[in-house]
Amino acid sequence: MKTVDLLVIGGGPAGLCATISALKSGANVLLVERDKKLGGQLVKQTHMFFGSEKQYAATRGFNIGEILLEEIAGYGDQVEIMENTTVLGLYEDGVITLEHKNEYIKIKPKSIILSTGASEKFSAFPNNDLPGIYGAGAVQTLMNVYGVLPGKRALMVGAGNIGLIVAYQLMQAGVEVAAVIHHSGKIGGYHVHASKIQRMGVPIILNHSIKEAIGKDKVEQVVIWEMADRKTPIPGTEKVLDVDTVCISVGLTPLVDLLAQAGAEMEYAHGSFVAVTDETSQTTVPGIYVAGDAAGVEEASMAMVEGYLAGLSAANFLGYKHENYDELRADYLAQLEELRFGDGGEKKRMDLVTEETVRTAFPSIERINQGPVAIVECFQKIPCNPCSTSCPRNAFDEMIDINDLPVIDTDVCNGCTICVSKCPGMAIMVVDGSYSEDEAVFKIPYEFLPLPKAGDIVRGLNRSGEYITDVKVLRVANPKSFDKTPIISCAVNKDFLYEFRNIELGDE
Amino acid sequence: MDNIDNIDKMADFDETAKMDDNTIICRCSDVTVKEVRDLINEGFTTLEEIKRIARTGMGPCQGRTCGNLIIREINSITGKSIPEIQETVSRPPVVGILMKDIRAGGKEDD
Repeated sequence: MKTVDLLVIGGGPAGLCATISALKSGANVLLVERDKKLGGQLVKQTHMFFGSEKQYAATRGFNIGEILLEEIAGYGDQVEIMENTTVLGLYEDGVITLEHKNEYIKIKPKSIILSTGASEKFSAFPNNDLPGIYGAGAVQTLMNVYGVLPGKRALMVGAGNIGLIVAYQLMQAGVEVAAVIHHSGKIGGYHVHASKIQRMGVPIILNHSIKEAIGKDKVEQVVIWEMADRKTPIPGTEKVLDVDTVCISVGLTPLVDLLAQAGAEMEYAHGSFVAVTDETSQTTVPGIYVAGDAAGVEEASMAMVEGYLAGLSAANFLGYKHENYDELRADYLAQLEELRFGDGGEKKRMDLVTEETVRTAFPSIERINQGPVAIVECFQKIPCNPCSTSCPRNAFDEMIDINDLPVIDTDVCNGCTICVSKCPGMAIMVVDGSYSEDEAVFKIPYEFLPLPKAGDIVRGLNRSGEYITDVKVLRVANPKSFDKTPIISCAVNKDFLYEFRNIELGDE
Repeated sequence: MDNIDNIDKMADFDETAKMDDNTIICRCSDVTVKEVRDLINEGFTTLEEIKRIARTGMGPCQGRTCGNLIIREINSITGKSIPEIQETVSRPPVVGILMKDIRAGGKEDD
């Protein structure tokens, strides 16, 4: 029987960080991954992550995966990686069975970290088994891993972060998004993600749910209807949408089968069964740890920190205590607390951002007319700070709590656009009212192909994606440091100073 | 874990109010919500019992798709709280494996 020090099951953000952390402490690690390559959900995350530098904020998810893999590669023989390997069972005597390319393998690890992630919840409605109905994560895999378009026109069900992000990525891939519907009056995802798709013209329809799908061999239409509360539909409010794709994004369930097999005590928390753990991420079975979504569904940034903590703890269990064990542990716990809203978990569900709220982000007209200045449309306390840490002039107040809203001193800001390219929420633009008497220059982030060219006249859109006026493109800045978030400079009539926020090419 | 975002990911729709009888609740074995409701009304009020009779949770998804939906049906009909409605017992193998691969005996040595 093969024996190993530490077995890490699942090579997503939590598993990769757990591996790194255990290796750093000196333990030997066997990392197994079901997929053909490591990275888990990171491999298909094309958006920039939130958080702070410690969680690679403002770096795109798939790039974070590459960074972590590179770090693991530096440990040579101390780590063994088995891809294409599925853990089949955990037995009471500590034996683990694996399947790797039709080979049935038994191993006996001294300690285990389960970082198996989560699976997508499904929704029950008539004809939910028609082709064209997918989990939103599945669609993301199709598009971003395999380069396959799911359809031509999609409905997104659920406005959590996954729903909002995948809706945006569908549009980047050229799929029209008919709408994003959400069953309650307040969305669960970050509002900056919501604003990104609204300004592309996608409506977010609140208090609506899917009634049924219609189609013969595949989805041709869906019927949505209004909800009086989260679970009571209102007959007579049905609307029919012509779509060939439905993405279901109604939540995730932690994958805990293996934990249950191991005999770990489970509890029902936040809508899912998860393992009971102590402050070292250890389950009730000594030597078995859990990290990431398997421990309770959260953001990938938190999965990474949980991974570091579990790796540190498991290595310590094995007798490899990191020389800075106490400091590291305290740091990981502090990071987690901060990312989870250290101020007591207040529920920050808020209404969708209105024009009046947006208006508060603008400085005085005198300041705008003086020269370039950043307009920061960030109205929700989320754990994110790249704007304040990237500013070369320190125009932003330092964020004491990473969840603080950005506060910018517009007298210090010179509109350099560095924060525009760094903001993971694409919530910042630069406005220069000194350009001419009638026109202001707007510098907006724009992530769609084809890019416009300097001199083009393009359609100017407001924050709901509605056409307001034609605008002239002055410059397209796309240096490597912007990491594929080009910044488009356009001359816009000052009449639309508070409305303009996006552009659209072509003549649709 | 009181992140706004989690709460949303976890607390999804309560579908029970609008599921029509012929809605498929278990895609692996084509079990409809009516079949599940009938069983619950007959007194089979645990996931384990329903699994043994209707085969829900015994297909390729191993209950990952249907489990939550059936738990909610039980909750809605019986009033049993969700934590009370135990999940089914998980046994190896968690995913399918060919009999011949098991029969080959398994690799024991490094």
